[in-house]
Amino acid sequence: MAFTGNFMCTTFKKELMFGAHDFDSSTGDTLKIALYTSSATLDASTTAYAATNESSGTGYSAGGQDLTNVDPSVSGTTAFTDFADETWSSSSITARGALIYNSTPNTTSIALTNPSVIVLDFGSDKTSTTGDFTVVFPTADASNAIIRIA
Amino acid sequence: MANVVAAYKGWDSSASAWGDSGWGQDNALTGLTASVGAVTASANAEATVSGLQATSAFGSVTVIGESNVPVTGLAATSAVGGVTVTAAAIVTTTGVSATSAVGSVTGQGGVKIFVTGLFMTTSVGNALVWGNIVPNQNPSYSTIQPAQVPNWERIAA
Repeated sequence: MAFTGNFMCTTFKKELMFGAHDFDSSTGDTLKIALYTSSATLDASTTAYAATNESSGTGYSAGGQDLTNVDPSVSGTTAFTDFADETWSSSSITARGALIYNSTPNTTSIALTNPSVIVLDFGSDKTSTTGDFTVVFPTADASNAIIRIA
Repeated sequence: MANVVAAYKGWDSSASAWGDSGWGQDNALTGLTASVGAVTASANAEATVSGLQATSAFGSVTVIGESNVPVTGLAATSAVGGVTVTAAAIVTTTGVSATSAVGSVTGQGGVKIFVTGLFMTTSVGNALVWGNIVPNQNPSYSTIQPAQVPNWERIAA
């Protein structure tokens, strides 16, 4: 099985300490989400975006789509950030999972190209047929947000 | 029709006498007989009816023909005048016998994937703080009192 769950990529944790990722909604980096077939092998060890086994089909372009950042926030002792739901309209796509990556990281202190952030496992193949393929992100709070640091 | 030949062999050689008729006038000859034989008429006709080929003869003739109908052949019986044509059709179909098209309808369906969040925990390690040893300490000690008096008590059995 190529996808074995959701993962926060290990290199992403390191890159945070290099100040490589900025999730600000207006001046932050461009985070992207790419879809993959069940043949893809993505997990915590994934370091960067690659086109191998990426999904294809009507309405989908290699590299995926830009995400809309939501400003990071804090609740209690937990910091979190979020993205707006992402939709491939009128598409015909089959995907088993996704990779969120940063296409414009800060490379002042570390050399990076499309570094990975998190891996999402959909649990099974999801297919749109001339319809909308939508990834719905969880509520942006300390208990559910897509990326949290406690 | 058969021909009738009436012999006229000269004046007064037949049933007509001299002076029986005037110049330029018809003269009825008596004693002549004629008959009309049996007349047979035959003809062939080709009739093409809606792609069915048939050859028939007039009369009450039954013509059995065959036709190759490429798409939607149906056995047909038709009558052309007194001719009855019965056609056996060879119907050639390929694959599915019925094909229907209703506009351009395709299945449509969207999908929504609800993903769950990821979190990382942080921890702060313990830092060791080393201090400089003061080199110029003044060691001191106190003398142990050697004049202790041992004492004991009996433990009740």
